[in-house]
Order: sequence, then C-alpha cells, then structure tokens
Amino acid sequence: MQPDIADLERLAVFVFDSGKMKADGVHWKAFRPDERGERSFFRIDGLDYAAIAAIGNEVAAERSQTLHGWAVLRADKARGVTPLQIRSDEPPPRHGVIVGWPSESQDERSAAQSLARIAGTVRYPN
Amino acid sequence: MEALHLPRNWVLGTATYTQQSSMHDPIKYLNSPEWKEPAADPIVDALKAAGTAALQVSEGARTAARAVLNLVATYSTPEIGVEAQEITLEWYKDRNHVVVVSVDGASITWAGMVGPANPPVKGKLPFNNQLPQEALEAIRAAS
Repeated sequence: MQPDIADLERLAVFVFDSGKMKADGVHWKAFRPDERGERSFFRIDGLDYAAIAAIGNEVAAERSQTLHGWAVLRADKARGVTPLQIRSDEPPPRHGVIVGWPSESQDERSAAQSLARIAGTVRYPN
Repeated sequence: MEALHLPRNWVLGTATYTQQSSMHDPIKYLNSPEWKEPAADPIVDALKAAGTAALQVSEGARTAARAVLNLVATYSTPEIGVEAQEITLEWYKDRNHVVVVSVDGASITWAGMVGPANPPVKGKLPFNNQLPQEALEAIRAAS
C-alpha cells in the first residue's frame, strides 16, 4: 500500500482480550503502546468484515491468542490525539503503528482513553 | 436449638487431649469475631495478582493506595492493578466516564474522561493524603 496514510482511511486495532471488549466499545487499554512504544493497527479500507477478521485471526494465531473484535479509528481522528502519530510499518501488508506516546503515565493513559473515545467497535464472536 | 456438647477429653493413638477452652456451643464459637477471616485487602490481592511485578512497588505506594481507597470509600470499588512502581485504581462506567488514579509513594496521577462533551482530565501532584479535586470529580463521574 501507499506509505502515506490518507486522512479518511480506516484503521483497525485488533482486540485479543475479551475483557477489553466493553458494552459500549473497546477499553482504552487496548490502545496502549507495547514495550516498543508502538500500537499496531491494520489499514482496512477496501476490506470487508470477513477479510478483516482473517487478518485478525492470523495475528491471533501468531500470538496464540483469540480474536474478540477490533476498534476502528479514522486516520485523521487518530492524528488529532496529540502528540500521537501514525505511520505505515510493512510488512506485513497493511500494517501500521501508532507512535509518539508520551512518557508520563498519565499522559499516555489519557491519549489511549482519547483513542478509545473516538473509536468504533466491531465484535467478533467466538 | 439444642446445644452441641463436645467431649472434654479424647484420645488419638497413645495421647490423650484435653479441651482447654469451654466450647460448649461450636456454632456460637464459629460465629465469634476471633474465628472470622480477616477482611479482604484489595491492595494485597492486586499485588499478589501482579506476581514479580509487585516487587517494584514500594511500601509508600501501598500506603498511599490504601489512603486513596479510604478517601473514596463512598464511591464504587475501583479495579486495582500494578504497573511498574505504581499502584493503579480504575473506575470505569463507560468510555466517556473513566478515570485511572495511580500512586507511587511520592506522587498521585490521574487521567480520565468526564463526559462525552468534556475534554480529558489529567494531572500529577505530590501525594499528601488528599485527592485533587479534578480527580475526585472524575471518580464521582465514573462511579
């Protein structure tokens, strides 16, 4: 895919912990960065539910985890959460990362809560 | 109810045991305060659940977390966790009403959402056994 992520692109953050699928959306902890300071996402424009689920299940299998659903962010909305940035990070195809996480814990949590607030939610029943 | 009477002496092998206390009514004894299990300590439970990660948590952080719990005893019970040197307390109603308060023994931090139309709240202050007003209002909103 093009390395530049367009403002209106949709990004999926997969959820592998059932506890992070809340009644009203995805829990903010699902958006927190990993030990490398990155939160993975996949660019899902042009993909249907089954194709997105296939990617999620592939990632889940690599981690020996179970896919429970995904949060959907629009790129421009994610960029609006200061100071986060998004960038393409292939391979695998369509993969990208949210970077630029603040070092202070309250700032990092607040940024993750802000992403959770603007995200849509898709459930994947198991 | 008819009282239960246990034997005052009984024999196991070659030893004879004599009851030291007058436990005429075991039901009454089991309901007495000295028999009841100690109240659950959510801080201890969280530290146990954290395993080796809890080794980084100072005694000061534990004391501060208990102080915070006492300060918010009238609100709903938070989910307690351990992250690095911090003990975290999270109140979650929904994604627009959530707050995480954390203490490390020296400072208190908070990050939360207090309604869909309001901006996020967050901050960090030295902990002096008081909750910052903004954190308290976020807890109230998320409880």
